[in-house]
Amino acid sequence: MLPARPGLHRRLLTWAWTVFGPFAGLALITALFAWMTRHSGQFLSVDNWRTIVVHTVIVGTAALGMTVIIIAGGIDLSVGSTVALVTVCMALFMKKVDPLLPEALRAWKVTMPLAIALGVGVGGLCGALNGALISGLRVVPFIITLGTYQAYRGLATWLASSTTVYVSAEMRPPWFGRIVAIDPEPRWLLVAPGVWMLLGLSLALAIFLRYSLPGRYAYAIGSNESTARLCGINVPAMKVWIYWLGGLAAGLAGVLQFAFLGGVGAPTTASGLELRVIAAVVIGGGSLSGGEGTVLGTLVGCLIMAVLENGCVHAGIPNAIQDIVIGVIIIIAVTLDRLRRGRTA
Amino acid sequence: MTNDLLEMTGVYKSFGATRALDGVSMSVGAGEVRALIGENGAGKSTLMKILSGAYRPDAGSMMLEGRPYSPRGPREALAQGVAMIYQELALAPALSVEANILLGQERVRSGFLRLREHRRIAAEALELLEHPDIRPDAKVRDLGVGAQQLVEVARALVSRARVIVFDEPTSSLSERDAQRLFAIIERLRRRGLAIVYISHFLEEVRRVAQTYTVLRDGRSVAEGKLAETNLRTIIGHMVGRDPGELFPRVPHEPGEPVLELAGFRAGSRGRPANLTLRRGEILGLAGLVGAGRTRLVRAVFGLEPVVAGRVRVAHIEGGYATPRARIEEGIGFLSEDRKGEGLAIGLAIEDNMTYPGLRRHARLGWLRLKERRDEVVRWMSRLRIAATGPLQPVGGLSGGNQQKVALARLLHQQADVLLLDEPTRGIDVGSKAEIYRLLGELAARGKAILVVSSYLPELFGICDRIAVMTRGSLTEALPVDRWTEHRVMEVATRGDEAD
Repeated sequence: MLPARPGLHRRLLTWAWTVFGPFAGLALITALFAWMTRHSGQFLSVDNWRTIVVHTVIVGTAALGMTVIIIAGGIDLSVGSTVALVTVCMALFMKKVDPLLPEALRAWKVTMPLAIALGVGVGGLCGALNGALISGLRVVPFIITLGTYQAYRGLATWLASSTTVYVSAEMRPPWFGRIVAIDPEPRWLLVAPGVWMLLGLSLALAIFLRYSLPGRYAYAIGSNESTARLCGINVPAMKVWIYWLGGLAAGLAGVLQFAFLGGVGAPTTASGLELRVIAAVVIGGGSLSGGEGTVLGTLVGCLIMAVLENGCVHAGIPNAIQDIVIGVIIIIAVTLDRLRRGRTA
Repeated sequence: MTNDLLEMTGVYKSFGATRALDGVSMSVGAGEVRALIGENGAGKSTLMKILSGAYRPDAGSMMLEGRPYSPRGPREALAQGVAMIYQELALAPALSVEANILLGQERVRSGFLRLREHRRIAAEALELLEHPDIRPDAKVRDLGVGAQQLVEVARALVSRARVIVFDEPTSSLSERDAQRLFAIIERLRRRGLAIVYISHFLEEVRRVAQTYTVLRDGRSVAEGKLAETNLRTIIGHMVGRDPGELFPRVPHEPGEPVLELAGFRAGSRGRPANLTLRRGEILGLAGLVGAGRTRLVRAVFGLEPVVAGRVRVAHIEGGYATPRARIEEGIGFLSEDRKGEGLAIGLAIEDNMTYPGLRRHARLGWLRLKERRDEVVRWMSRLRIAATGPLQPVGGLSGGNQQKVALARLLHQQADVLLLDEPTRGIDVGSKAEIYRLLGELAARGKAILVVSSYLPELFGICDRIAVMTRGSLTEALPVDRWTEHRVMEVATRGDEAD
């Protein structure tokens, strides 16, 4: 039977809803807080929005990797631990390894770039290990990354001898701290360089997901792994690769966290980050059963989380209530999204 | 008639603008098996759901034993004496047989389950079905599909149902389990139950039912006694036109061999298989479900390990190869499990159709989406796939159109050898005829086609040669005119007596 072709109006409406739907929630929450804080007027100020977007950078960077993982039907609970491990490794590198480098090399001011490369690399390694364990042992990602969530955090604590690793201020070039500064320097950047970096990476990832073979394969694996296998996709190898990508994103998030902390390696930092990252992807329309999710949705998800937290502060809502509100919003957002798509999760 | 147990008159049901049922009347009496026949989409499942109380009819009346019957859900339907045996079994696999039989109708005394009573009731029901061999404490997941179905029937008996509706009960049963089920249905009929038997398989309907009702486009278009009609007439009612050629033959000539199996073993049972598949021929693999046919073709394609033997594809010989390698050698595989494995239900037609051949549209790893879209649209019109467009998720398509997408995938990947496992399972007669014609045309263009099917008329209708598999052993492939349906069944079931 030929299904009825929906009218042009209806199709336009559907299209508009698909593209702008995620923004509707954001607009709604913004309007709500603007109304609640209408007497102070601080909430809608440019400065405050600079703060909000800077606060999305770390979660957002990690969430880009998580988006790919969730599209491919997986999950990564070890993101927060990876971030902590990355900050510790970077700090230890600057403190212990850098003095051993030859003087000629140090004159080139390569310490920080090397540390950044190391941080991203460590993240990638953590991700690749996740992927290798998931593919090799054929255990569900939830369990494997629950294990590495503990293990990476433990490794970070052990390397740091259970304490915060400080790096002397002169070792950190001033540009590094500015990546996530609320007031950008130079001014014409409008927002912190980290925000621009996040936007650039997002665009690259969105193009990648749509136009590259591995990008399409990720959707296939998440939608139906058996079909992917049947179609000749090397599923185990793809999984290692996807978790490696997720790890790289977590590593970069770790570098940003390192900058955000003012250059200390903190084995206890970013605890619970993984859940905020997963929440952002899911609020943005990602499905934990795989095959669904978009970069734009994830970014909006991150913004919704940041606006919620920031708005609660401005509205003078106590911390405990904030957590309740955020929890409720996550459930409402995902329920609405499922209704919008006309199916149950 | 006055002795009708269940009577439906003028039942209407629509969903939005779609008329799902457009005036259906049907009745079934005590001691009668009525076959409900119709293509997919004719309204059979809607009717089922109204009977079970999942939907409420917009208009029309239903009477059960002379009293108005309007259940508000499956539980109420069961309480009033109407039980359903669904195509996809509704059992809790981790629970025991007796727990499943008494699920929802547990006997309780002061808050405690009366387990001894349960055991007795379950054993009694299984005794009634003449299958005391099924142990009440066995886990349901450890039973075969046939035995699981008996558990469902036992559950219906325990609920004292007087009307039992079977929805395509044999679609996943072996011939032997099906025979066993027919015997049980006959026994239930003699006990005075009214049975509604929904099925696609017309030959099977003749074996179980006495009367029939044909549904088409939501209307009951014909009814009567099966003994007073023939299959062609019924098919005519089903499709609403002259059945014409269900098996259109496109002339084709076998050419040189492209796929050869020598001493090939995919499982531990049976003798090693030898088989030669030529260009321009359609070769049928007949046999009972579980005989090892699916395993054989899956192993050739690399989805199961190869235990022993050689595979020669276009003069290149080897053992096991991955699906990726097979696809590159020009082999295409169609899975029997369309929803579980064959298609990614949530993804668009264009994605589903192009995954194996996606590299063709990539330059340096980047896809040319326009080029891909154009080709998908061409295949969609070539195979007459009814959809809103290449972006529609395949989950929203009818079974026949889903299967066409799965077939189009093999054509898009430019496969020369097509391994098709049950290519027409669960699709309507119209789509079947289209797929048969397509296979003929492909053979005429020099493709080699291997069809695994449990539907004998289909194999006889389209194949050039047929080989029969029984308990892991494969017979020689003989031209189709040297087989009869009777002879195939004889060979297919022979293994049962052999050891």
